[in-house]
Amino acid sequence: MNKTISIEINGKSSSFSVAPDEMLLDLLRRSGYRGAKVGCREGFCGACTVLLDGRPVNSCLIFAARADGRKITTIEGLGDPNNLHPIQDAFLKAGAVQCGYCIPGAVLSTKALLDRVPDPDEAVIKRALDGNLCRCTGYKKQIEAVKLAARKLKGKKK
Amino acid sequence: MSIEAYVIPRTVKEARGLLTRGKGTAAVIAGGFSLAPNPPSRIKTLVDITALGLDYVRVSKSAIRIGAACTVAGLLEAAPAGIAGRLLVQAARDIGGTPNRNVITVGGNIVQLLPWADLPVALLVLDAKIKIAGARGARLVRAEEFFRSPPLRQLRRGEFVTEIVVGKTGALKAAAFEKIGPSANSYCFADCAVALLRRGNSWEARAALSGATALPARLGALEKALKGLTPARMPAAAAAALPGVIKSLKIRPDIRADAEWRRELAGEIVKTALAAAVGRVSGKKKK
Repeated sequence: MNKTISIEINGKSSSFSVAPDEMLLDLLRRSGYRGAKVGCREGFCGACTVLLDGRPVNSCLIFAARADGRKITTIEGLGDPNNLHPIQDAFLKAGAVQCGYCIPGAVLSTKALLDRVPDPDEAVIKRALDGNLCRCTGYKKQIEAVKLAARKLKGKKK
Repeated sequence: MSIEAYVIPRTVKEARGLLTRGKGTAAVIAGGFSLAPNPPSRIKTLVDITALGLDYVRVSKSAIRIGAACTVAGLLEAAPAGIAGRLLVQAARDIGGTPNRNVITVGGNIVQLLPWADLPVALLVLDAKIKIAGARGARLVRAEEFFRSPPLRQLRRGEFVTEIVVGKTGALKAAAFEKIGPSANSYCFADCAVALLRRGNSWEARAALSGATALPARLGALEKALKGLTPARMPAAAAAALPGVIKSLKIRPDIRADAEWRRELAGEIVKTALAAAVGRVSGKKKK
């Protein structure tokens, strides 16, 4: 039986009718938030990463019904092509993007990290990105991107 | 999928009722890591226990109490102090990747027993107790009993795990956890926890192994061989006893490694964990 749930997505509250077996990833994508990518659907690749109440989760493993009353941030909530979020800009400037499929997840994991730890060291960065697999550029550039993003956001706060 | 209802009860009693009335077609869900990708076809109702207030870590003078719905990330952030608390943190630290640690719960980790369930070995050597809510109230089961057979099969209809209780004892002098796997996101090949306890002048070692075996279990024969020895003498005694101990275990092969390789690895990981614990008790390492 379908259930009506209310979710705040990128700061905007909306109601959705969801089937009991619908996953959050599928709800987001059918609602236009296609930055959450379909990958392994087993919680291993991180392509579907979104922030649930500020924490990165694999949306392929979260039943949509469970998101009732919660806050979701998708990549669409960070910036757009004309107005990139500093983290998105850092990923571009560091050359951390090739095919781009994993990047929304990696950017959101970076946001969750920098919201909690503004000046992370490399070990902390590696751990924060350990759930986001990349098969193009690898991780070196992504780590550089996170460091650059941290510097950018720090400068913005001053 | 066959799921017909996703229910979020507000009380343990309500959850118990839903599970009992489900007559085997209702399943508990918390993190969802095991159930979400492929729920068994007999399951029609998912009973989400994340609104029952079971997402806590409470530390008192006598025990560390962890709610079954506490996430692995929640346990790591609570970072309970002391030897037992540090062992739990060490075991929880490398469960999955960050997005998964944010949803995998302590209860799910010990009930579902995926091959990367690292907490059971720590709970075994800490002699933890598992609190199970059921129609007749709550019952406490020792970890050793809980893991003797697959926990899901042990739970009676309407029952679910609500809390893990790790009693504190001054006898616990050191502990260590070791794990070997290809990457953070891979199932481990083997994991092991060791605890050293002193009662008066007598020492005892507890060791538990998982990953390489189908079920996590204490290594009783090894513990017997080490009983009464000082920590300094334990590594040599373990090296002598381990070939026989490991040979008697039923080692699980998988697509990545055959049983013989895993058997050898299991022996080495136990030696490594024991050496780390002995190092800590003799003050070489403060952790």
